[in-house]
Amino acid sequence: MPIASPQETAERPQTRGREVAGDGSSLTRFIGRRGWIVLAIPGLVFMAVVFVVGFVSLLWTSFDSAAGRGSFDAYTELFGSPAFWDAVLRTLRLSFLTVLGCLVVATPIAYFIARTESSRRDRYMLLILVPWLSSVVVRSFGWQIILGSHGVVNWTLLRLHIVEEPVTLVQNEFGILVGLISVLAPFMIITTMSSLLAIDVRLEESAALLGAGPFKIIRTIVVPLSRRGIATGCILVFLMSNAVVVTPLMLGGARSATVATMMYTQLLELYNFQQGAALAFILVVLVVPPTLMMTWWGQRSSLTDGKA
Amino acid sequence: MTGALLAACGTSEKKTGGSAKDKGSGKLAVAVYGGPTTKTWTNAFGNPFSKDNSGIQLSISGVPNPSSLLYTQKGNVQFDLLLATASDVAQLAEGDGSQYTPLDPADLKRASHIREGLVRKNKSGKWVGVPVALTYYGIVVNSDKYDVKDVTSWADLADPRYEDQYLMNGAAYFSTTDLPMFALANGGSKTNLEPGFKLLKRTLPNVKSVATSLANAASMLKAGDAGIAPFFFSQYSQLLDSKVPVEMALPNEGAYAGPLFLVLSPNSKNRENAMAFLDSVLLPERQEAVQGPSAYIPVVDDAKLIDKLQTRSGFSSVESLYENMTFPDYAYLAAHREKNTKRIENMLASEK
Repeated sequence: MPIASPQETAERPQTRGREVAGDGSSLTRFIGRRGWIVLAIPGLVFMAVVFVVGFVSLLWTSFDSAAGRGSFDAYTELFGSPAFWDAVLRTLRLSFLTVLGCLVVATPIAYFIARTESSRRDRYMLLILVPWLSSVVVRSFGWQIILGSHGVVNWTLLRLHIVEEPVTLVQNEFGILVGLISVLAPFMIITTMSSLLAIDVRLEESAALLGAGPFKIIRTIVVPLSRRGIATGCILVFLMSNAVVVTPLMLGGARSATVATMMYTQLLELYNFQQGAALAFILVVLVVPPTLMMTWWGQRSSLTDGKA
Repeated sequence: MTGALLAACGTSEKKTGGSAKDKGSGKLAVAVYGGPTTKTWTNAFGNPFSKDNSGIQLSISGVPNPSSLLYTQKGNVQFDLLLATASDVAQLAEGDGSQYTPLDPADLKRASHIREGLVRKNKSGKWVGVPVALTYYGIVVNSDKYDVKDVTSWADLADPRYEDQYLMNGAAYFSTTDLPMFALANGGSKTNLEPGFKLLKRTLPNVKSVATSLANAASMLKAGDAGIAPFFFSQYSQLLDSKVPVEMALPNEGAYAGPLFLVLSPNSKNRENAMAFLDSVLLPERQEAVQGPSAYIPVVDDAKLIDKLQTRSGFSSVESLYENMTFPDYAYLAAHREKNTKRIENMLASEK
């Protein structure tokens, strides 16, 4: 790795975390700790109303049946249904694979953008955000065409004689996975990039000067120092892929129901609010352990926020 | 809440109407299915109504599932009239009546022209909604891949030649539309659906996917990703308009008759305008005008089948079409909808 000139080093991102912290502490001195609490109250009240009240009413609804309140009917029915367990396993499997896929796709892009000059960085970020200008429905429909038996992927595979006949790439879990990764990867890019920007690039350069190879630098410096951002990205992607409805509906097949699509059926097709609420509550319970695990992974390193 | 969000964020609304000095006054909000249905309703029913009742501010909005708003916006439905299927109306008829305003045929000038057998009454003998359109459900094949003449029964969907080519409806939908026809094709009856499940089991190896929308189904049929699928005649007609290579078979057991209703919301403050709109929709000229873009079959006895639909359906009159339709026991289907849906979901999950 070539040694950077002083000018180049000056252009590159430095210890931004410390600068922000400095600004934050002066702001805290100006407003005062109590001032911050007062400012946070409207937001906290809003969150309490939207989340806590919503969550409690959801739980309440799930125990409300024709037989009266306090009924476990919705849960016992679900737990006795093979389709439910099938959907639970598929939901978790797809969510973990989506996180993995996003990590593979998004991390190199985030690193590339983070290590680009700031003037170009905005343009790249715009490119990342452009797909968000269209709805998920349109993007999923696009994937249906691209991955269909007459789509560009199958056309290429057939032309290159890699396959003899079109491969089923959509209307199955693979189709859902591709759709989810394409929709959610930008979240991973943004969160990871914010962590990468906080790393002092001179650390990587020093490691290279001392003979560390690229993989060692990534393993010992980049990943530990961007762990929080990566973990946040993983959590965001995991939570969103669990709850997403449109993509599995459009890209999954007849046998690719997820907990979220089951919930959609119960609420909007069968008007069974008890079971819809029960499914929603189960989904919340399902995502808690992996989310805690990812949070723990993000926090466990002592090498955080550039304080190596 | 979901419905409210959908209504607030995901609707396409078309407004028509004039000043307060014009004929009629007040507002009227109608919810229909989104996409082309909104445009059809606006052009065929909304604009002519607004021309005749220019004082009424009419808005026709497209929502994914209008009748679901009767449940999700309980007691505070944002629309006066909502489009509903026969199964939805049957489910409402069996409920406690809090989700809709029952109607009296005496309030409707055109009530006597509605064809027999279409009206759904509640336990008190009041109308749950007013039938405004009819379509039927047959089997569509991709004519580039299959010969429509080979399809003579609903049981043909289980034919191995259609392996991995059958575009199935979602379980909830299947339980009220396909299942009764499967049952009839396999020796069952309108209230004995067990043979329908047996036929479905035999059909599962042919299932390619679940159609999530007409656009989704059209693209799959057009691309050859699916070769056979049950469709409503109105949808089939749209596929033909979009140049999708399809032909429709009317199985020997008959085609499933699917009437559409307009239901008055429980909190509607525009009942008079709603009745005027319903009368307007039931006029023979409106019932004929809507056939071109939507392929709806008339529900009144003084409207004719237009030439385009005669050609596409192969029937020369509304009467002959009605004779080839099967009217299932909607109330029975609605009562068993949830249980049957779960059973179908489980069958799909266990069949790998």
